[in-house]
Amino acid sequence: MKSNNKQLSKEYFFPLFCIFIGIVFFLSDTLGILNFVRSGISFVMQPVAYEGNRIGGEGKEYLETFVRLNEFRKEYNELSIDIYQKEVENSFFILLKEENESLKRQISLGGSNSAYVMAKVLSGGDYEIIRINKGESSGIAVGDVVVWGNMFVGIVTRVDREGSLVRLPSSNSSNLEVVIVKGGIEEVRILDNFNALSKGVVKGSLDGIRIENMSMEADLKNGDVVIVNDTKVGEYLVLGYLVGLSENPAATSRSGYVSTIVDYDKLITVFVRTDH
Amino acid sequence: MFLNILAIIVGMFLFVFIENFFVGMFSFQLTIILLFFLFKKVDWKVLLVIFIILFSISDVVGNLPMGSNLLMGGVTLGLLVLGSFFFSTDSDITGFSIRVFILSIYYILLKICPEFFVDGRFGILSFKDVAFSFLKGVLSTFLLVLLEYIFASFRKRGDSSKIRLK
Repeated sequence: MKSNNKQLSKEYFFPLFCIFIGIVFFLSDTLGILNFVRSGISFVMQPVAYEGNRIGGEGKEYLETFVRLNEFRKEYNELSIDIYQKEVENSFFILLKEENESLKRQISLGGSNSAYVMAKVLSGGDYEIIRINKGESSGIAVGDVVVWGNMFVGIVTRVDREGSLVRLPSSNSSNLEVVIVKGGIEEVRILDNFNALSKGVVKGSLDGIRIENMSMEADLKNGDVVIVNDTKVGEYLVLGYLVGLSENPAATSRSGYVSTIVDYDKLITVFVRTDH
Repeated sequence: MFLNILAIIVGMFLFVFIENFFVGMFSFQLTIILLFFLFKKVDWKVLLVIFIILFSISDVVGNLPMGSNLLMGGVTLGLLVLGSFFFSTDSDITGFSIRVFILSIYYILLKICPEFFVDGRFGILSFKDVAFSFLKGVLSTFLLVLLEYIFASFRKRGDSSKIRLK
């Protein structure tokens, strides 16, 4: 019993021993007496402690992901909305940019003495016609030529008050007289600068825009420029490039196809010449 | 003898690694839990030597003056001993609550004392720090109870091999 009490009382003094030795160590370290001990422990244990701490830190970051899942979800939703808004703004700016470029092209390449109405293409995907958002109220009439710079797009076939239908050269009902020239597209605007190789006729079909009745003697090659030269159009406008040229020496005339420069599916802004 | 020394050295390395792993992951100190667990189970002289070494290592790797962790551990243990005079600190709800409270105080000391030891002024304590210290106190107590339960079950299994005379 007595020894148990003795043992118990020593156990009760254990915290006091800890405090006393702690104070001794603290004062010794402050005076620099224990520097050698610190160096030794640091040399041996610091790498072990650092690795343990680093791995624990990585584990904590991993666990934090689950704890902050709701926060990440909210942030993700906000960012998604932000992205959608920016995409909408971006689309608007893309449209503005396209309109600006079309206008610049029209000013530089279009006829300077003609009047034009700027219109937006409402629907495409049809190889025969496109709809535009301007009509009678803007001064558009049936037969008006639709252009994009000095590129031929089509001819207005139906007009309503606020919309019109434009027949494309690839339409079955389209028939246009053309000339085939050598030279660049930019030079076509100035009449004297192109060298006409042959005349021809373009007709729309399911296969594309077919060109026929070209001269056998002419030095025609794939890649030559096809220009619309029709009384219905009233000016020289570029249609596209000659492709698929026939090579039959027995034929009386040559034929081929026209690959248009304008991609009708991607047209957004067009210009309707309204001076009748 | 040699194997014992080797086991102690390897054990120390392992303990330092695990302790710092818990510090990095949960801001948790295993040394104090071990101290509370081994108190009254191991001879106080052996305990003193073990914890002088462990606390000194904690001080050095934590860049604190040596003796800091030993002081804080000693104060905390002293509070437990003082509490044992007035309340029962064995395995019941009162004992559990006392340990939660005392371990929470330890984590609060851990928050404010290091700055005092280094710069001579106590660190700032916010309500959030107190709340987290309480939470860590609760977790530490659970871990301590778990250790005691495992120890108790080993002891019982050990006893089963003894011959009982009726």
